[in-house]
Amino acid sequence: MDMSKYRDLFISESREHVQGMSTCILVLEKEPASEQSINELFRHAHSVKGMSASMGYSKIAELSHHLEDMMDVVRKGQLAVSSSVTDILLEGVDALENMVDGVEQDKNLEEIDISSLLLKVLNATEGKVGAAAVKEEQADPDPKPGSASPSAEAAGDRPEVKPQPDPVHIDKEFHPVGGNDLEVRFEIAPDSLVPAARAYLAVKKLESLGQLHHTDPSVEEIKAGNYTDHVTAWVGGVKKDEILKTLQSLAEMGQISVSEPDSEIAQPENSVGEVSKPVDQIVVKSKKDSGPPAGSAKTVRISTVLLDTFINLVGELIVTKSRLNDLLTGSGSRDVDQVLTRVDHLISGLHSEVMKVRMMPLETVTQRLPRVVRDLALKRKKKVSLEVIGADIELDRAILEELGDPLIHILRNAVDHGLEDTEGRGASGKDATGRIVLRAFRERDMVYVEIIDDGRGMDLEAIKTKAVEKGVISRDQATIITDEETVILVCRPGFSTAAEVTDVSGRGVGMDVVQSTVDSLGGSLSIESHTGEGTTFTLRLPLTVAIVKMLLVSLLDHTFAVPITRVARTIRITREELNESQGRQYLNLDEELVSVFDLGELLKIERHTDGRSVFNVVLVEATNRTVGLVVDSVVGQVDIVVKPVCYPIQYLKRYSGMTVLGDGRIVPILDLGNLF
Amino acid sequence: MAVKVLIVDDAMFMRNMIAEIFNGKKFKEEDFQVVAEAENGIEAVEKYKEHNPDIVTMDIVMPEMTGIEALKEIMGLDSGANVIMCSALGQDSLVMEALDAGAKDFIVKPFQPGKVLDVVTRILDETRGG
Repeated sequence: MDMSKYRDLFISESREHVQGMSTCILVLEKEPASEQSINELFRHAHSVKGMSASMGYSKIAELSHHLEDMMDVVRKGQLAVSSSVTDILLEGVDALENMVDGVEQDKNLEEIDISSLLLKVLNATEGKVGAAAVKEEQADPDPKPGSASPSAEAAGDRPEVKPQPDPVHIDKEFHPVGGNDLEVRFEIAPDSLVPAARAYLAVKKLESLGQLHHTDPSVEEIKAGNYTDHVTAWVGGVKKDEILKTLQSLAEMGQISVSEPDSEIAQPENSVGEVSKPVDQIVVKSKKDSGPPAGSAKTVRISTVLLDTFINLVGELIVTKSRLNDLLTGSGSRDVDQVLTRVDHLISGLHSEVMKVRMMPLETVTQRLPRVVRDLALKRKKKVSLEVIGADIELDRAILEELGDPLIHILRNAVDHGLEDTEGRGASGKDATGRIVLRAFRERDMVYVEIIDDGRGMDLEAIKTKAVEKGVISRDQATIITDEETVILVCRPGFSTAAEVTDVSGRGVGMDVVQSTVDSLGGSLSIESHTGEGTTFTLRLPLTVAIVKMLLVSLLDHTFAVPITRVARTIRITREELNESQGRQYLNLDEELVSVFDLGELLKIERHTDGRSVFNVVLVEATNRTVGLVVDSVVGQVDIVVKPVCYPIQYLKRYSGMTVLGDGRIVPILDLGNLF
Repeated sequence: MAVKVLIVDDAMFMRNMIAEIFNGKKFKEEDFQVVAEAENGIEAVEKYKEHNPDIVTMDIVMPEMTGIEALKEIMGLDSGANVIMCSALGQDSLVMEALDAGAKDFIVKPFQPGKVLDVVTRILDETRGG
C-alpha cells in the first residue's frame, strides 16, 4: 500500500497526540493520581505507536511503544508519578515532537539519537515492574505441584498447571496411554506479531470443538504471553479432520499436526503454503487498484497550502471583480448590472465559506504555553500558574501561525520580570504562586487576547532612564511623556537588551518584534501596568488577514491603505480646532487630547497645506493611544489581498505590505506601529 | 448485496487506511462497503445498532469507551456479531480479553492489507457457511 499519501495526515494527527501527551503530563505534575490523565496519556502514546508503525517510522514507534509501556506500568499502580517520571515523559514528548518535525522536514530519523532517553524510559518502566513482579511471586505461597492437577475435569475447564521443570513427563502422567484424546500440535506463523494471542485464539477454538484436557504451555501461561514455538493440546470428543479444518481456517498458523492416541509419529499437515496463497492474490489486487478510500468519512484533512491557494484565488477574484465593476458601471445595460450583482453575491458567499475553513481555535497556539511557562518557572525557581480562558475562540490560521512567538515572549517576560519570586511575593502579602491569566474573547470582528499577571508591575522611572540611555527618547521627552506612553517604550526597537530577547525557534524575539507582528496582522497592542499589582498586555487582533478591508486615503496623487480594523473613524476638522503644544499638534476630542500628525510630513511627501482651513483626519488606533492622521482625502473602503513584499522593499519600515487594486495600481499599506 | 463494514478507531489516519484496505475488494461476489465509521466505543455501539454491519473492525484503545467495552455491548446486542479487534504490538493480554468477550479474531498494527482481508474472509466463510 502506498503510504506516502498518509504522510501529512500522520504528521498532523501525531502532533495532536503529542500535544495531548504534553497537556496530560502537565496535569499529572499537579495531580499525580489523575486517572484520566494517565489513561489519556497511555492512549495518545498508543495512537502514535500505531500510526508511526504503519508509516514505517520505526524510531517513533519504538519510543512511543516504550512510553506506552511506561504508562501502562503507571496505570497498573506499579509506578507512582513523581517529578522524575514526568521529566522523563516530557523528554519523551520532546523527542517525539522532534522526530515528527523530522518527518515533515524529510530528515533521516535514524540520525536522531534517542538511545539515552530510551534507556531512561526502560529503566523507569522495568525497575518498578521488576519490584512489583517479585512481590506478586512472594504473594503466591502455594505453587501447586503437578500431581495435584485438576486437569481431568469436565470439558471447558481450564487446567491450572504451573510451570514444571520437565512438562513432558507431567503431561504423560495425567494423560494415560489408551485415552481417547487426540494430541494436537500447532505452531504460529513466525511472522506473527502477537503469537501468544494467536495461540490463545487457536486454543479457544479447540475448546469450542470438544473437551480440551490439557495444553502445554498451559492456557494460563499462554494468556500470560508465554508462547515460544508451539503448543501441544490434548482434545477429546472430536474428529481429527474437524480439528485440522478448524485450525487451518485460522490466520497466521504454521505447522499443524494431529496424532491418534496410539500413533507414534505425528503427521504434519501443511497449512502455510495452501492457506497463504489466496492472501497473496489479494495483496496483488490491492496493489493494482489504488482508488481513494471508501467515502464515508465526515471530515477530510487537506493541505494548508491548498487552502492558501484557495484564499488567494478568491482574493484575486474579488480584486478582478471590482475592476470589472469600475469598467461596467454606468454601461446602461440592466442585464450587465444584474449579472454584476449576482457575481458579487456569489463571490462574497465563496469568500465567507473559504474563510470559515481557515478558522481554527486559539487552542492550537495556547496548548503549548503551559509547558513553556512550567519550564521557565522551574528554571527561575518561581511558582507560577497559568490559566487559559477562551481557547476555543477562532481565528484565521495565518494569524495563529504568527501569534505563537509573541505570546511566548510576553509570557516569558511575565515569568522573568513581571512576577516576583516567592520571598518577594510573601513580602508584598501575595500568594506564593504567581498567577498569569491568558484570556481571549471576541468583540464584534476583533479578537482580544489579554495576558494578565499579578506581579510587581513595570517600573516607569526605570523604563524612562533606560530609554534615554539607549537613545530611544530624549531627556526632554522623558519629562513630558504620559504613563501610557512610557509603558509602550518597551516596544521600541533598540529598547530590549540581548538578555531580554527570547530565543524562539532560533531567532530573537523582543517586545519590538511582538509589536510589529501584531501590527502586521492589522491588530494593535496595548499595555497597562500598575505598580505592585501587575501588568496586562492586550493584543487586539482581526479575525482574518487574508482578505481584509482597507480604508484608502490619498495624498496628492498617491494612494495609501489603512487597515480598517485600526480605523476608529474619519472626521473633518477646522484649523481652529488644532492646538499646538511643544511642537506637537493636538485635537481636543471628547475631552481627550489626541495627537495629530500630517501623513505628508510623516512620509516626507512635500505639499502645501498652509492655505487650508478644513482637514480630513483619520482617527487610528496606534499602540496604547488614538492618533489623528491628516490626509488630503478619504477615497473609500476596499477588500484587498495583502501581498508579501520582498527585499529590499520589506525594509521600508513605514509600510507593512503592499496590495494591488483592480486597476493594477500598487498601494502601500501603512504600518501604524512604525509611523509615529 | 454488499458486505457492510463498520470501522472503529479514534485516529482518522487509521480509519482511512482500513477503509482503503476494503476499497474495491470483494468477498466472493459481494463488494465490501464501509457503511460507517466511529471514533469511540459509544459511537461504535450506536453505529452498530443503526447499520447492523457484517464486520466490525474495532480499535482497542480509544477515548470515551474502550474497544473491549464496546465489544461487550455489541455482543450483548447481537451474539452473532463479527467483531475483529485492531491491536498493536504488546497488547496480547487485551486481545485475549477481547477474544474471551466474543471477538472473532484480531489484526495487528501495522496492518498488512492481505492479512486483514484474510482474517475477514475467514470469518465470513465461517459465519456464512462458506
